[in-house]
Amino acid sequence: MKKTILFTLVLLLAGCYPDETLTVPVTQPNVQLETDLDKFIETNFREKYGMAIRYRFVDRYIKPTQRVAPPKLEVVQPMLDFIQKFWIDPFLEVQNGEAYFRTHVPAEVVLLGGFIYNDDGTVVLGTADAGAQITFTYVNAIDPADKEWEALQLHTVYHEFAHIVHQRHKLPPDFEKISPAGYTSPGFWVSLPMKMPSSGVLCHRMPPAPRTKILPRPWPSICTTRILLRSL
Amino acid sequence: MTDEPNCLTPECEARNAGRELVREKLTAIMEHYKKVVGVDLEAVRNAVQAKLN
Repeated sequence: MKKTILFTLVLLLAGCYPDETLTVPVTQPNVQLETDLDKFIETNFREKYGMAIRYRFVDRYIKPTQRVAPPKLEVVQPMLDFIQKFWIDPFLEVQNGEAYFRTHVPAEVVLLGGFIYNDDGTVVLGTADAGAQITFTYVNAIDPADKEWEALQLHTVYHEFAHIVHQRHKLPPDFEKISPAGYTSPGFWVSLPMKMPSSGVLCHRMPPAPRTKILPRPWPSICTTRILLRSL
Repeated sequence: MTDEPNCLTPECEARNAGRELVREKLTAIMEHYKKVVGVDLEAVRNAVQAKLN
């Protein structure tokens, strides 16, 4: 009986410990509105479209086998202007475009300074991750007079944005039957010189190995983007 | 995107056949976008091109 009372007393005392303050460091939120640039991003991208812009490099943006340079601080604002002018504004200017953009915009946009280099020597131009993130690469080379850089970024962002859209709305019925030959999967897409192949396929996915079984798989987004942005 | 006129070689005809397939896919995608999200991709393209020029 005495032991039971003593045990209960200990439990009660332990439960009424007066100071419940944590003695371990609390993780700081990953938001640092320290600079004018951060405030600009907060006001013009996160609050307006729910789109966080990540320009401070975090290693989770790439795989452990990949290498990339972070963006220079001085290119971030020009890149934001580029994104606003050539990606956001065109949708705001067309019918139903704003609702469409707001509905499909990724929650996170990552800026990287250079290309992402894989350990096999290939490079990644941009990525769209699970419909929630789009990554711009090669941002450090921004130059308003460089039309090739401009075209590369536009191809990349509209291509990646199309991935997000197609994940939600699929492809048109019977689209796969139009030109079933000429696609390879799985792998990664590469930009090819603008030539007209008889297959009607303007983009290809490289098989991971020469002897990998090749399966037909239409992948219209880059094709559509290239046709829309450049005439053949 | 227009066909090469006066095709005299099989290669030229093949390229034009490819163009026809691309036109078919482009039309399918553009109609799909209009149907599911109500956006005219041609209008988006024109907006982008106007800023590029």
